[in-house]
Amino acid sequence: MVNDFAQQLETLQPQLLRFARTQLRNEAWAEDAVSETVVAALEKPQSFAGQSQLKTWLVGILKHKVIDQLRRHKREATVLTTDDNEDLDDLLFAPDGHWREMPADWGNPDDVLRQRQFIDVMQTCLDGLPPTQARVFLAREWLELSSDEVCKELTITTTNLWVLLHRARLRLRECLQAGWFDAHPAVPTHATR
Amino acid sequence: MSLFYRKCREVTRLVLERENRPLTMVERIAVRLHLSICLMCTRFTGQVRLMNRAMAQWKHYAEHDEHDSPGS
Repeated sequence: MVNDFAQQLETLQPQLLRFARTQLRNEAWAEDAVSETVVAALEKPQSFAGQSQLKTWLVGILKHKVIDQLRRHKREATVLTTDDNEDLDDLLFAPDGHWREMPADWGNPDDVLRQRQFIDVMQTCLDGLPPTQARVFLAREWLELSSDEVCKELTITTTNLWVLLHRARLRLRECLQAGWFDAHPAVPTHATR
Repeated sequence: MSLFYRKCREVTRLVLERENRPLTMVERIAVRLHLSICLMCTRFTGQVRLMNRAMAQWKHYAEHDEHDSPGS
C-alpha cells in the first residue's frame, strides 16, 4: 500500500518537475521544490484522504514549495536579463501611438481552446518567456498570488511588477500569433471589418 | 476631449493593466469610448480575453489528471 503510494508519486514526478521548471526557470530550484513536495507527501500520506486526485493534491503542495523557492532566491529570481528588459511596445506602435499593423482576428475562443495542441503551444510560449517575466507572470496566474503578495515575496515595486506583466503578456501574444494563429487563421464570421 | 482621449498605445496598456488593478472611472470611460471606435484595439482586447481563458485551461491541465501529452 505504502509502496504503491510511493510508486504513484514517482510516476507523477516528471509532471511536477515540468510545472516547477516553467514557474521557477531554474533547474536546481525546480528540483528542490519537487523533492520537498515528494518528501512532504511521503511524510503525511494520511492527509491525502483520496478526497481529490493525487495529482491535484500534490500540485497544491508543490505551489507552496515553489513559493518557498521564490522567497529563498528572490534576489536572483528578479534579476532582469536583456530579454526581460526588451519592450515590445515600440515594435507594435508607431511614434504617434497608433498600431503599426492591424492585430489579427483570433476568432472564436471556444473553437481555439477546444484544440489540445493549442495548449501545448501555450506551454511552449510560457517556457519561452524571459525568466523574470515568467516568474512574476506565473506567480500571478498559476500560484494565484495577488499583486501585493508578488511584490512582497519578491521584494519588487508595484511599478516594476506591472511593467514585467505588461511585457510578459505582449510576449505571450506575439508567441501565440507566430506559433498558432499565423498557421490557423480565424474563419471570418460576422462583419468585423 | 482631452480628459477621455487616449491613443491606441495607451489603451492597450490600460487593457492589460486592468488585469492587475481596477481602472479609475476616467480610465474606464476612456477605454470604452476608444474601443467603440477602434477595431484594432477591439481585436487586441479579444486576444487578451482569449489568452486569459487559455491560461485557465493551461492551469487545469497543469493541476488535474489528464491523458498526458507526449510532447516536450
